[in-house]
Amino acid sequence: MKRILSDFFRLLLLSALVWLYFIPAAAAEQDNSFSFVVFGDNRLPGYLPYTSDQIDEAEKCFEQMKLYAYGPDLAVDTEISFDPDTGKLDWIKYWPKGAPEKYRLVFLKDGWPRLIVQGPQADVALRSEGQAWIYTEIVAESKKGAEDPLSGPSFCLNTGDMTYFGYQGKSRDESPYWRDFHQRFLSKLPVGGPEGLPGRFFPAPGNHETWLDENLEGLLSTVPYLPQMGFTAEHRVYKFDYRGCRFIFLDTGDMDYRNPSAWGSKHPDFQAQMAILSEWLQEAKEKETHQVFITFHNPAFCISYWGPLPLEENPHPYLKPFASELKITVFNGHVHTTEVYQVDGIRYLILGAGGGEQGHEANPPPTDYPEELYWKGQPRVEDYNYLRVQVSNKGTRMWLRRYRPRADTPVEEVELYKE
Amino acid sequence: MTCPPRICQEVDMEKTLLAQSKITSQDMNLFSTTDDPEEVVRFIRENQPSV
Repeated sequence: MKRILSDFFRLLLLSALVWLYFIPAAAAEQDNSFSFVVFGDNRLPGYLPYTSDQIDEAEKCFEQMKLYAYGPDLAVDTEISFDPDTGKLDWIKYWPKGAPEKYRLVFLKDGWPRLIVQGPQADVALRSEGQAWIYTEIVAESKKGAEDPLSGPSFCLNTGDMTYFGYQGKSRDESPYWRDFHQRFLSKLPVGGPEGLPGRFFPAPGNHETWLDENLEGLLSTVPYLPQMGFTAEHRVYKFDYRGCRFIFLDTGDMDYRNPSAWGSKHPDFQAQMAILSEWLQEAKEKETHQVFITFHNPAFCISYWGPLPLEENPHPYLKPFASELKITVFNGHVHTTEVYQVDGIRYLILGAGGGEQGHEANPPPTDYPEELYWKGQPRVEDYNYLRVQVSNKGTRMWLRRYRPRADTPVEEVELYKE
Repeated sequence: MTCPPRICQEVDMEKTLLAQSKITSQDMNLFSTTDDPEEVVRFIRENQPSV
């Protein structure tokens, strides 16, 4: 009997030791796990709420858009049609003078672009439900995340271009773009921020944020807690730490149609931003904050549209020295597509398919250019998406949730990275 | 399938494709037409496989 009792107590002691060893470890792991989402370039192009008696205003607004897209020198022909029943602008078609095959045809509903078709192949460049799907999914996931951080994202990052321009009003109350973004997305996110953060939405400014709104009145009135984090119209960089990770946001600057891939920011300029970046990375290293997520609009590596930032204005050489000691991931946008690179141990993701018109054209990459890992040279298709990042003690996982309207399986999750 | 209503009206499937027996009446249940993005999203979410 004594022997049985002794064995029983030994087993009990062993169980207690196992419990003491494993349970706190599991609990600690749970405590540090969190996730966030990233998206960008979600603005719809051009709100045109004009009726047939406002054709002058519609043409003035369109003239501003044309200046941005083509510059002042290119002559553009347009054709505008109003719905005879409602009197509202129904569609607008435009093309460079003498090249009607390069047309872009925009169908509108209540002033908002609903569908964009472009020549010469009549490709669909935009279906506005792509943006609506992303907003709906992120809001639904964020509500779950606010209730239980293991079930959904705690916050969202944005790679820039949430608005189109300030021509029709700058502030959140005046601008149709900011008002719409607030009403259909930001105001639907759970109130407050997790663990001392002042909100659940953290953007890097894109070139559209400053177009005809040089002092960022729209962004600052729509995301009013940014100054608490050090971001102002004069100083457009900020950072925060969350559960052992550092998040850094930089500003690549205004749109310049003559030099669209440059680092044009003067708030502060490139060299000053790189000094701040190096200081914040050094600090992360010393604090043993091993994982850093950096967001800025114009892409460091890119084979679409305007291509990457030039080498002399590219943060990569400033990041590379830290890559052996910090896990660094960079989120970019600007070109309206998705691209993925891994360069010198640093992950670069272009997340520019957040709802704006899509870019399906890739340029032939220069010799020895890093391999693009999302499309992998395959033809590109309509693809609206956002990234989900899960950080835990087991490692980091990144996957895209995407909507491809013409695919057999329109909604899919695709794993991009797993440690 | 989505398209602006005025285009959808022009390509009235019921009066053309169905009337000419190019499709069956059951095929008409395979798609939905709307120009409202929120309605499209509802349709996508209701019909997407759980992931």
